Amino acid sequence: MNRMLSASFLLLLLGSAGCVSLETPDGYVKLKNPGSYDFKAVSPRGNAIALSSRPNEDSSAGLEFWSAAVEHQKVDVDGMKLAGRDEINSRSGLAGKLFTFETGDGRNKLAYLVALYVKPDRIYTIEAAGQADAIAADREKLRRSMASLR
Amino acid sequence: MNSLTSRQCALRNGLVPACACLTLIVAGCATLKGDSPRYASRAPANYVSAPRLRPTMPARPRLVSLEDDQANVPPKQRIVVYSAGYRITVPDVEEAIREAERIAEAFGGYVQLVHGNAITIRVPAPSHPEAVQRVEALGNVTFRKQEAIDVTEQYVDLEARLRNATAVRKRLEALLARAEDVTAAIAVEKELNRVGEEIERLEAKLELLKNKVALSSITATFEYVGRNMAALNSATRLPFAWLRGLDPNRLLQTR
Repeated sequence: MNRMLSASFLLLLLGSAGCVSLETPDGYVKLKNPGSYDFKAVSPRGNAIALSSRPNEDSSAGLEFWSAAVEHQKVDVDGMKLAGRDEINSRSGLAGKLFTFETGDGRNKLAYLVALYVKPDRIYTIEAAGQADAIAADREKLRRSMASLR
Repeated sequence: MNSLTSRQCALRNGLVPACACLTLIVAGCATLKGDSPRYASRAPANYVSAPRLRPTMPARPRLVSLEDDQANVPPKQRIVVYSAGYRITVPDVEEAIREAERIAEAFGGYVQLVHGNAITIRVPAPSHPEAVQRVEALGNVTFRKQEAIDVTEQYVDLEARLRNATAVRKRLEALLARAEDVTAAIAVEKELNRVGEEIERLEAKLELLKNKVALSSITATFEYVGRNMAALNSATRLPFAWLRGLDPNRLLQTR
């Protein structure tokens, strides 16, 4: 009886945490300990991709609100350059936004991709970062991985 | 039939000096040899800036040929060298440097120096105010220095010394032609060489000054905007901690 209760509790916990999965990009290695992320993988050139999620502040706050908030944070507050804003769809049918930001001084340019998916109860972000040329080389496989959310 | 009426005569007498004046003005507008091929092909004649001196944004300088006899230049007209220096925060330093290069090119100027995150461009003096505005628009200006240096006295002095030296050379050449013995000829030639060197030195100085007057200098040092984060208005930050956690540096941390 206790075992059943524990298992039910665990399932409930996983459900409420918005347990989702992401495909590891080709050539990347999934980390056993992703730290504060739900998922993290790295490439041999030092690129990293990670998934994280958190509860939605307000169920009425949709993709439009959070897209504008992410863009404001990264561009107006953090001073990054917005290099692209594209539509992206998850495998589970969620519509999302894929932002491409750039930052860095001189030739040490860093590229930072953020895919954003919003559900009434939960927000998912998949980030990828690395040297601009390394990210450019992996862009398609990173995008495929970001779209594999389910 | 061919006789002219007094009115026609007066008209003709008035036209001849007017045409002569116009010819002299046009002939006086000789081009200036610049220190860059790009400049040499595009830069206009030597310029003297507008008479009024302003420590901040200069007005569009008035064009007057430096080849004109100084006596023809009104005494109140000043010869001014314009320069500007900026420190600008930008989201992309490399792109800002490329844009500054494009500004120089757009105004018929050239890039004098690129050193790290700093660039110095030279643009024709009449385009200085517009070029400065374009450079300021590249980002957030955190430091600005605009300078207008009056070089009228220096210019007049150099010209006078050059005129005198040229006159001395002519007299020495005449003396050399009349020299009756070798000793006298050698002495005159020695003096001719000295005066010749002096003329070359003065001409070089004058040419450099003309170049400084004709082309203003704009230096911009760009800084990545992220370094000045503390200066940003914190009121614009949203109260959602996870947004601040969207950070490539955090993501790339190995631990």
